[in-house]
Amino acid sequence: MLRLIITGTPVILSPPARKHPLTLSKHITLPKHTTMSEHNNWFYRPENIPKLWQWGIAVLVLTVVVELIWPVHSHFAVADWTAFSAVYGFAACAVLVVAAKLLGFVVKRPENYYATTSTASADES
Amino acid sequence: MSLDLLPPGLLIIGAGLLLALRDGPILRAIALLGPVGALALLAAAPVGTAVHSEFLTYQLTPYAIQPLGRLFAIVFSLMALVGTLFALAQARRLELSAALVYAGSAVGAATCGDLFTLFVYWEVMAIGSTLVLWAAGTPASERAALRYLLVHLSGGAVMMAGIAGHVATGGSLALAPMGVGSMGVGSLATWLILIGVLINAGAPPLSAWIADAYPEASATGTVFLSAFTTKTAVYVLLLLFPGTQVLIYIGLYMIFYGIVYALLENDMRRILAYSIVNQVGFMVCGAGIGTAMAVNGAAAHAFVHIIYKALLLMSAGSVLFMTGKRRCTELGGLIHTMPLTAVCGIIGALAISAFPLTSGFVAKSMITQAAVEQHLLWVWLALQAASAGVFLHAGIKFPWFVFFQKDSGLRPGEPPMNMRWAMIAFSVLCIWLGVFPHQLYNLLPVFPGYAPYTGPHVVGQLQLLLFSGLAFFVLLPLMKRTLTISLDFDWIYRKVLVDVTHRLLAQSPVLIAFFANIGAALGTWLAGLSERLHGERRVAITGLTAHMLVWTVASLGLILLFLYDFRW
Repeated sequence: MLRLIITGTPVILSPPARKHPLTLSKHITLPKHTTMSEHNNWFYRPENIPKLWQWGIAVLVLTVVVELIWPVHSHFAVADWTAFSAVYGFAACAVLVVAAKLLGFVVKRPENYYATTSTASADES
Repeated sequence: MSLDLLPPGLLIIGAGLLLALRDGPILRAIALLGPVGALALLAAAPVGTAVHSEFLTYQLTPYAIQPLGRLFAIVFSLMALVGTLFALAQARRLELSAALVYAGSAVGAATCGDLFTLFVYWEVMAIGSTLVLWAAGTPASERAALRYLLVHLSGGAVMMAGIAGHVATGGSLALAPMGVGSMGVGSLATWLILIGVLINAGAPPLSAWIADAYPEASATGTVFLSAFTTKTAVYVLLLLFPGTQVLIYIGLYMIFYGIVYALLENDMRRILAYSIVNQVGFMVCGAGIGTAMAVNGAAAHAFVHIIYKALLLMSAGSVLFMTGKRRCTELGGLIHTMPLTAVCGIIGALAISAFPLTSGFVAKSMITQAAVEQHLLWVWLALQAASAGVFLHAGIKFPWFVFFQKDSGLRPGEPPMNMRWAMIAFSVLCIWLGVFPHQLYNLLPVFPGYAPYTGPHVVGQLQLLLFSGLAFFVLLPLMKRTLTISLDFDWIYRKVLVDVTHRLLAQSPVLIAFFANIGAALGTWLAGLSERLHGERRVAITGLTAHMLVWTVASLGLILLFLYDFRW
């Protein structure tokens, strides 16, 4: 919270971002059923987060267990290893995320990068 | 002229021109009949239909129905129909009419039978799509439209140079595979055609034009832009360059470029734009493998890709339309009040990730199957890694950051009725084609006998995708959204060349004055000429036109010198 001292009296300004959602844009309307609770959606109730993880992990285990019952026979020997796709999928994503992160150090620029350079060079000329 | 000789593309172009002349709710409803009529014509036209005509000394085929082109023409018309429905009440008149002309020329490109006609449609597409982009009306979209047009006019010029060279050296105008060697295409002319086509496909090094331009269009305009240009390029690659080995490597590069750049991105529509490059990469790779399985797989993938990519961009477009926001950092939690938009977006995301029972599963796996059949282990491994990456960068990232994650507090309603129905239509189609793949396979030029739903394939794919999902949530801390853009090859022409030019000009005011004076002198001479010919001075000279005049005269002079040399 921002405190401003005006004629010796502290005035507390509330942050503007937490305004009533109705005031955000002319397009935005507030349906009635959301006024009761901010997080009435199933995915947003805190007690459901562990449940989501538990179910997710159960499904992951299931996809591997199924392979033990119906073994995969593919064209390439390497793909016949149990849970090859699971390990490979996870590893591929990990490599891609790290690669993107590293590339980001080189190529990321502020959003107005091109805008500022064009006005700057226009000023020069 | 009987009805089956009427090119379906012209109906859609006609609908666009109608809207260009007059606008109104009733006329917009009538414009929907253009794509409907085109679909009806395509359903009725037998393969082998052809219209021939003479141009100079060339035998042209402005309208021809062949199996591969018909497949693309059907999906282009379908896209024009549902895209128009999505944009019906919201798009500006310029945008909607340009979009229909753009779509109609794409249909025309898929239903023509010679290189010249193809080139004409190709250029009309460039102009139509530029206008769609420009119609967004923001300063950013105007600048992006100019860069977009420059890339595509250059691509078109390279392609035309190739066609001219091809014809001059005795090549046929017919759209048939061009001489393919072990590592690529033969002559300089065919290389130029290939480069021209690849520029439109979003191939390196110019891939940046897609992510630069498409996200600057309006909420409705991007939906049209995503569908036609790159997929027409894929169509031409499949037709002219199947089995060109270099395309495998270009395709693989595009696949991973799209994933990595999308992972770095914060703008939801730019994420989806990068994933267009990624998806087209799969198709280019299929064209490179070149077997019946690969070519038909790439065609099937193009068909389903147009539908689910449009669906994803409709979902993102609805969010943009209702909130005015496009950055992941400002969005989140929209599932609360936009459940329909979220569900449609998730269906599109599942389809692009090739989840079983979606259209992506039955199409993309044909390309990987082609790699298996050709014993291309490394290509297959790369494609599998890429499939995991698609789920990571588009399949989860887009829905997660827009509809879930940290609640942004935004409570927008669902988009207007026509937008909702367009999304529902394409969602149903994504599932329908996934559940009944033979509806799609029957449209293919050759169906090489492929069964997507085998136990090992489904289990393997589920493992691959679900463990990618696990990787996403485990690695989420590494994927913090930042308020940044990512430099790409366009840095060369948006920054380096601009800076160099400005520095040169800043250091030599004499040079600028020199060119301006020559330009002004030329302009005065032109004005005098105009006065003598027309009786009035119909020439306006500004600083810009004076410079342009100098460079035009200089390049024409160079060409003259070049030709003079040849004469000797």
